[in-house]
Amino acid sequence: MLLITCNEIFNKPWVMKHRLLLIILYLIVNVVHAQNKFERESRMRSSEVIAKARTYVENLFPKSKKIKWYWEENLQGVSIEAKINENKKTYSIKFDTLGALHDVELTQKFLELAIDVQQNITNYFQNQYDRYKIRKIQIQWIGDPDVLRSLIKKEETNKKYTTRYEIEFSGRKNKDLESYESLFDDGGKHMETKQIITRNLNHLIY
Amino acid sequence: MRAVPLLTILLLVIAQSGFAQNRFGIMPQISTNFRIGESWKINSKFENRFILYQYPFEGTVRRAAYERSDLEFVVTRSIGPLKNLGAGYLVRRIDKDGSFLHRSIQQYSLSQEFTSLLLSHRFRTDQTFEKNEAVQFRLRYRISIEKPLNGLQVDPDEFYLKVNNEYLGILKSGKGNMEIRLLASVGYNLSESNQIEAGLDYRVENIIGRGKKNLLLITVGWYDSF
Repeated sequence: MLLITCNEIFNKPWVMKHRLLLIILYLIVNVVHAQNKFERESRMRSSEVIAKARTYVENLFPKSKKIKWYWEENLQGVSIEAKINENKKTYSIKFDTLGALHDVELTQKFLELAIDVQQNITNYFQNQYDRYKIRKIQIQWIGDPDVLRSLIKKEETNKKYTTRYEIEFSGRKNKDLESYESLFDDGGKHMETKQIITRNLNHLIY
Repeated sequence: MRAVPLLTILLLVIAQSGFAQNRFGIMPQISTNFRIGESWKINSKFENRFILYQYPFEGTVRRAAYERSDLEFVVTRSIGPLKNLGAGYLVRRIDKDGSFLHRSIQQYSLSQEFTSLLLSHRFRTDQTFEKNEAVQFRLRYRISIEKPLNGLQVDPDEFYLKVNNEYLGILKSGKGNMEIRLLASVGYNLSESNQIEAGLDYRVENIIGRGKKNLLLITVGWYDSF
């Protein structure tokens, strides 16, 4: 029989003896995996997008002819994302599969961030890396759909929302130069860093 | 308006092709990358060229024939994310007379990632050594663009479009010449380290002076990385 139940596996003497070691190994593999950035996305037609999400974006950008929709899978699950280029900025608006708004991201230049945020982020990079170069900054807003609508429209709001900064950069540490993505809170305090795995570019060079 | 000079050049090339040698063939290649440590890589490429049609016919044996095989090794060192410096060697067996040609290669490559586009630049110099021939020096620049055919980036089991454009300056026995290459191919990303491609590669050789050569090749490539 090719089919073996989980119980049969766990009851094997070797597995029983090394159970703790196996659990630790499993956790290490999962932690290492989780620290790398994984995303897989594919294009969607706007007609395939759930009406709730489509209406929210189309009402926000009525003049934008090109709203691009993507189906995105990552380690956290599946989401639907709208990308809009307007006034030399890129807006990414992310929903879950039922059309509930998850977050809004907007590309930023470093000098557009608040001075204290700039200072905290610079301090973090200078302390952690021998050399670094920022490639992309996105401000991320999480909150109620009406609040995020106001923020996109650059209107004042007194309601609560969360601001984070997502930064893609290359950093040199102990002579190793790698690409990373870091997340900072609204004050520029570091939250997490993931290494970006670069695809093999052999086919473009040779 | 920008299209006018380009169109003029294209028309001149087409008009002159009546006086040029035209060849059509197929060029399969296998390219493998071996990683040595954190920063070093060796790329090996094995490439063959078969000519299926040529006019005017300059050979003495047959119009369609196996033409040559290349074996190339390039050792590269990463000097930053998506930046590499390299040096290599190529040996070519030419079927016409069974002779061998040797080439030393130096290159610098850099790639840039955009929202839904990958761009690579390759700057290369090479020196070709052949029996009873003067040494040939070439200065090359190639730009390659990869565009996913689905989504923002090329994921496993997805197709992509690749376009290459290369300019070659050639110096041999004190005489200069030029060559332009344009390749368009469709690739399939089997995994992050494994791709297959098929496309068309158009080359105009000996652009300066008489004796222009047009070459159109069907390319088939397999790229693997270890």
